Amino acid sequence: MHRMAVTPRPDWQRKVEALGLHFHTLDGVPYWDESACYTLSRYEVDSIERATYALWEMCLELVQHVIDNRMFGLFLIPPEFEEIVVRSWDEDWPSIYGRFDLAFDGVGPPKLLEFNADTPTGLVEASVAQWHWLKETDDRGDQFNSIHDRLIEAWTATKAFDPAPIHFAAIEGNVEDYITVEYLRDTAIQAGLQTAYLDIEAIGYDTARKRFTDPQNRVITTLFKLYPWEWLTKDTFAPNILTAGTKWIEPPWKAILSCKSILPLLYQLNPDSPFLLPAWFEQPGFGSYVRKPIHAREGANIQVVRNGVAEEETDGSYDTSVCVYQQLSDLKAHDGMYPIIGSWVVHGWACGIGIREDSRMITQNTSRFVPHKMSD
Amino acid sequence: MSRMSREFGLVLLGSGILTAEYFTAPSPEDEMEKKADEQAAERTGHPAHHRSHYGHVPLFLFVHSPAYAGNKMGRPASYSPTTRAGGFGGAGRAFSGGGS
Repeated sequence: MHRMAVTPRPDWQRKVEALGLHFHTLDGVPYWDESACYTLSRYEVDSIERATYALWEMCLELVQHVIDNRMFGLFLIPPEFEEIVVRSWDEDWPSIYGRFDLAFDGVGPPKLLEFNADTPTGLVEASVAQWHWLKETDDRGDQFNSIHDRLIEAWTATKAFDPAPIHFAAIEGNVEDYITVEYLRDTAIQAGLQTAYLDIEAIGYDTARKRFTDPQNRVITTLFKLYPWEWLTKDTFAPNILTAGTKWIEPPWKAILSCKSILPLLYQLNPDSPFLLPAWFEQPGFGSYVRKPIHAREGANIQVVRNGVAEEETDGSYDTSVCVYQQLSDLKAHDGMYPIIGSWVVHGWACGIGIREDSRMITQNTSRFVPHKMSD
Repeated sequence: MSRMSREFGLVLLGSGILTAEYFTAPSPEDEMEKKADEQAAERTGHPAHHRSHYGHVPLFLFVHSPAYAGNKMGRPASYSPTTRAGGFGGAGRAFSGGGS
């Protein structure tokens, strides 16, 4: 795995905007950064693919373990929501996608840093923008990327499960979330589904029909929401989720996998896995580790402790009262940048990666997305 | 190993309707809907009948799925009298977005 400096395409901003990537620059600094790219060998891509499949399998086994042993408290799932979590699992409600964030030095096995199982973003960049970048800069080049195809496949399976129209919702006013949802809706449309978008704030609850509705008074039978379960269960409408009959995507059982409590539990269940770092529910008394709030996002409120001394900490608004602790993985720097592999699993397929890099070891929402290609 | 094997198209994001101006203009709805109407008319030969807050939605639906109209959030909502809205989004208001 190598980082190469490359020349950005002339007018690259307009090119990525044409694909929906309007958030290519944040505070005057490119977020989409094509002044460099990463090259990976076939062996390295195979390693990432193998790790992703193994991690996905371990995650599914973990969900079953949590349900069998009623361990919902570890994930701060409210007791009244346990039943819908179990039901969504037992009835196999459709799941579309997730993103494993991996530390990878190109030599040893990839190591799981976290799993964005419920509301992952960075999707348009990985699926669409970097593919178009590759085809324009190296028409014969290849890339670990069949995300788009797998998304359509996932929606096709969803349609087979239930052909009802699907509503798509995100928080009002957030460009990245909106574009992510619209891209997903795009792929659902291509799978033959009928769709509509609405802001999550616009969802209504009809007390007469006891159903969620959209502003046109249509019942929401299936809802894709880019809005995490730990927030849904705190909102005013939370009690109505249990009775309204809406099918949710991602499904309620993703409330387990999107919580960082999976990190120590995965390690307990699979201590010999080469793809897991040691992790604990209790703070280690010594050593080098990373403290992660179980429901923080985008690298917020992370603390890096090296040899028992806090070395680095990020800001954030998340509750740090419940954290997990993961052994520090010394990321390998490339030209002074620390890359994280975002490995996508769509409809059970390990189907592509997106790479974000930062000058700090903690990847945040301002970390740059850098495209990749295969070197052989 | 799975890789992208074919060219692919986008029906919403690639439509050219969802532009950066949407996010920067003070009141984008009118302009976006006008553009959506124009593009729908170009493709179909007659004016689009459905419009929405986000402009591009009805274009797609007009072309591909006329039976299920898009969300017309730029127009007055037509919730039933027994419906109330705004019960989701509160917990996320303190944060920048729901993605991760």
